[in-house]
Amino acid sequence: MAAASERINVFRPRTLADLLSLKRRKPDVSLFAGGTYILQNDTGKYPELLPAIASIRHLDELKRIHRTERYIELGCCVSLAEINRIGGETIPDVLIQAIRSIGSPPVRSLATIGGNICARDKRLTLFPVLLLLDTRVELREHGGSRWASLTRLVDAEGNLHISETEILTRLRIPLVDWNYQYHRRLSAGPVSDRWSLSFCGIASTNRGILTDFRCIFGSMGKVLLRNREIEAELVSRKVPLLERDLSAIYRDFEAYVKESAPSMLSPFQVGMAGKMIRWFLASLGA
Amino acid sequence: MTVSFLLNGKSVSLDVPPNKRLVDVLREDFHLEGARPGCYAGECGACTVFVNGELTHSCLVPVFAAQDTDIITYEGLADTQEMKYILAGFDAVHYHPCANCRQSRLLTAYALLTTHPVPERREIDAFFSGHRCGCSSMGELYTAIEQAVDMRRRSGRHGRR
Repeated sequence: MAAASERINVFRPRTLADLLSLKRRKPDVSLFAGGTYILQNDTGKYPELLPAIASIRHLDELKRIHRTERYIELGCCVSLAEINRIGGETIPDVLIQAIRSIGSPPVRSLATIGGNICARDKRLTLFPVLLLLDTRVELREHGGSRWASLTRLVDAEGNLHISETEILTRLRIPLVDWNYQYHRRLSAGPVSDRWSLSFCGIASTNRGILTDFRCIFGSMGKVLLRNREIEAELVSRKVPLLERDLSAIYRDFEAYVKESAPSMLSPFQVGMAGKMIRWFLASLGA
Repeated sequence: MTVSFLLNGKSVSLDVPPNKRLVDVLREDFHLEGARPGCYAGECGACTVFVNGELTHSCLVPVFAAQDTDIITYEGLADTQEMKYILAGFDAVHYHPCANCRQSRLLTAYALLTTHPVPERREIDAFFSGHRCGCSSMGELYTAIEQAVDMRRRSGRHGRR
């Protein structure tokens, strides 16, 4: 058990400009918004925190929500409870489904959307969903900002890359009328990466033809599985899909999973992934 | 570090290690023992309090993050009329959760009935999904909540959708 620590230096910037300035002077300061991931993984009486912390939850500039006809922007400190309250009329329903699969209401009132995607060592529940929705993120540092696709934040091994002086401040989620939105999370614990699996599938159809199809799997570890070739192959097919098509796609997908992450997924995860993609494909147009 | 916040309507300030959990601060520094330390992982729900009007697991809040917040514990609501209806409803159907989660369940019931005067069972499920103690069944809880709603209705307060 870690002891009570007076060595922890807590900064409390008053504005976003203060925070950016602090980050420039002290790049090693780590940001603390909801803290649920950190504290759920350290169950000692005194959780071990990094020596320099900037508490950012109170900054109004990071809690703003802005909607246009084409997209919705969420500040990184918007809580999951707040997004859940806004609901699927305004925010893609698949994101709401994913949020409802996370913790309980008291946990969601603390957890923030920025915190969920910025966990250093794991890609948590919302990352694959936001990736599928073509989310872009704003990264700011003192004197500048840039927008980047969420895919640019992680390397091939699933490690997060945000420069030490940059802060993820906003997320921009395009609003598209998806006819089918489905999220399912199987979990044996909040962060068990051998027994957890999340599936997210979205699709659009027009007059019985599949016009767009995307799906992704996350493992609550670093593994994210998405095969754009299989997705592209499915576009412009008639739905419901024929049984022989379903079987062929299932075989392709199984081969892809075994080839791309043979040692990173447990047999349970591989088996469940196959079942979920088959079910989702069969539900299209049914 | 010095941390200040509103606690049950009163402004308080204390010098405390920043990584001390809020649940321990409430119990050890303010002797408010309604919130109980259970799992320290935000799973059992025994440490539930209101932070800025939202039900929150106080074991997941390091005290520095409570700066300038408005915290209400079970003790802060125990004497309200709403809580009396809930207690009466619980007693009327002999719903007695264990000592470890009793106050946090009462607080959750308070939050539920404030936002959903006549809650449906799925709303009860959603609010109580943060309680993992096996001391009582969901069936008993439904009955107790329905009894509390009924008692409040008979007294002429709220109770209509």
